[in-house]
Amino acid sequence: MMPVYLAYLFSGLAVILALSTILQKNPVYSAASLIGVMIMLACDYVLLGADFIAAIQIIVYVGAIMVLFVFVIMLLNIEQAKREKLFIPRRVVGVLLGLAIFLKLSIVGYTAKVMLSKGYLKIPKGADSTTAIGKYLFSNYLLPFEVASIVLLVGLIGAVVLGRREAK
Amino acid sequence: MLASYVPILIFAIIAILFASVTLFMSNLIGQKRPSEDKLMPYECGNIPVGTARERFPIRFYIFAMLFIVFDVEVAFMFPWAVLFKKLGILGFVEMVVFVLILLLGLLYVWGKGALEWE
Amino acid sequence: MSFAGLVFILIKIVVVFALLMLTVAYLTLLERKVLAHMQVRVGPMFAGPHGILQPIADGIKLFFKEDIVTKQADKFFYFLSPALSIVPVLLIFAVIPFGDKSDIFGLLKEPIDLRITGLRIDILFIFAMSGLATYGVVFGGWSQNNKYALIGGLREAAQLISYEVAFTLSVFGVVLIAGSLQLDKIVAMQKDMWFIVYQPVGFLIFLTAAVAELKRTPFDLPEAESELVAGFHADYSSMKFAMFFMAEYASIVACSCLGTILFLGGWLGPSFLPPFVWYMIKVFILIFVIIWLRGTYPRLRYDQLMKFGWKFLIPLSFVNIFVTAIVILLVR
Repeated sequence: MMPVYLAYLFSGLAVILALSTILQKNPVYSAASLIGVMIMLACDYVLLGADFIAAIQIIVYVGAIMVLFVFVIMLLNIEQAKREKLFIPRRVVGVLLGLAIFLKLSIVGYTAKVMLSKGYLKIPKGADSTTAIGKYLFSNYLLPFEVASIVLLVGLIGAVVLGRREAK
Repeated sequence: MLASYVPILIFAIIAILFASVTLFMSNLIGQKRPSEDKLMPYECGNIPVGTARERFPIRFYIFAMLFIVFDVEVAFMFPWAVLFKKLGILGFVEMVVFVLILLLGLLYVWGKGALEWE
Repeated sequence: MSFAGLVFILIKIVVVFALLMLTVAYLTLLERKVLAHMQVRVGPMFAGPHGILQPIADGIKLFFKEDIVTKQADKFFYFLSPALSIVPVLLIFAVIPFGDKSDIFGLLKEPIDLRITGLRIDILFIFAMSGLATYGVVFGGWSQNNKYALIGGLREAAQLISYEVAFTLSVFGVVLIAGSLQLDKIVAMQKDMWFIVYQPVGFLIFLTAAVAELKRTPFDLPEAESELVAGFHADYSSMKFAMFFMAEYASIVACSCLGTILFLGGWLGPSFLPPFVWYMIKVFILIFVIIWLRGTYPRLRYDQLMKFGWKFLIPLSFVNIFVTAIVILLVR
């Protein structure tokens, strides 16, 4: 029973922090709230038995991506947001995009559930999440894995091109 | 599996309590004799000019971006390293290709001079 | 989990916490004494014989000091940052083992693990926590609204993330050989030979990157007192300052423990001394080396620091990983 209550606690905190992320006026506070969201999600992953994903969530999202966000906010000295009207066109686009992502994630979640129940993906009994992920990553999902490195390469080149133009 | 995380949760609560109680108590107990000069940011004894909310060079940003790329790469390498003895030659080749593509990126960044801190 | 189980966990946590705080307190004295003698001084002498009570005196003094909150500071982050920097470091000690299963000289009926808990992903957990520690510094530097502090904080964050890559990569040699992320299994695999023998380059990269992560000389640019007035904690005083300090020294202990476990065979050693003593000896040798570096080396320039990290340490780590992998494939 205990894990269920903890899941409610962590998820609830995640939602509150997510609201704080979009409602805070100071961008540094927003970024800090987002960091909190990531940590809470990692706690949820642990409760789901995916400790490898939880650790990677913290290492990559909190330890790297949010550092970049915070850097950009601090380096560029982004001013406090001014109060805006509730309904502006770009917010509608934002809400639509948010709904689209929610739909997409729901479909992914459902497919994964179906695949698991039909036995397409077998997690060996007693195997920890690191081994299970490695087993699939380096056999069935080899192509996405190698493509990931190309995506990362593109990101790297993009960062340099953007940064260097500034330097000239 | 979950049982091994219970001590971490308890330890986290204790650590947070320890930090907040210590900070709060010390703030409460310590004497308070504020003065105009004391409450000024200490910048080598000079009176601060303006605030610290300034714009800074962008070069920090490039390193943060580089770090993200390598961090994600490391994330992929962990399951590989754990499973390496089972994956054998095939696993080795897979990872060499993966890392070589990214090292190509590092070489590009290097050649562009983005690793220079000027 | 039963009530007795919870009490047992609490006892373990209290013991580890108390030992850690004691070590951290006396580490400050050890450092001052060692550095003093290296520079032909005597160091603290007045509080107790040979300054043995100095850390306690320091602690009491810092606790009762005035807690200055500057006018321009962002109050929330100013209070949050010291806690943000110490909590992740403390959490690292939740997975650090201090010895093999032991019945503590026959005191207990059943042998217990000399660690708070063991995960299947110990090493990942440690890296996750060390990644979190960046924020104490960044937010701390930003919150003071002090130019020197902000520059110190940003410098430090850039340094931390640059060396975090090499720090993580240096461990891969060990993980490849052991095929596990569990610290106790890694120690058990070193029964015949310490991993430093198989991984000399890995150990050197680990030590270098660790010193950089710990922002110690020669990589102590974020705190360069001669240019940044102590860097990111310039305006901090009282217990808040002490907390940054404790976090730093606790990380030194954590890194030394990790180095001992991964490369120096952990608690393994000839049986005339108990495992825990062997473990402590090795940990203190590493701590001493880190202090020794401060007494020996001048500070690098920032461009040298970044160049060394990205152009030398990271490529070298990759070479080390793949050479290790090839050797494993050939040996099999």
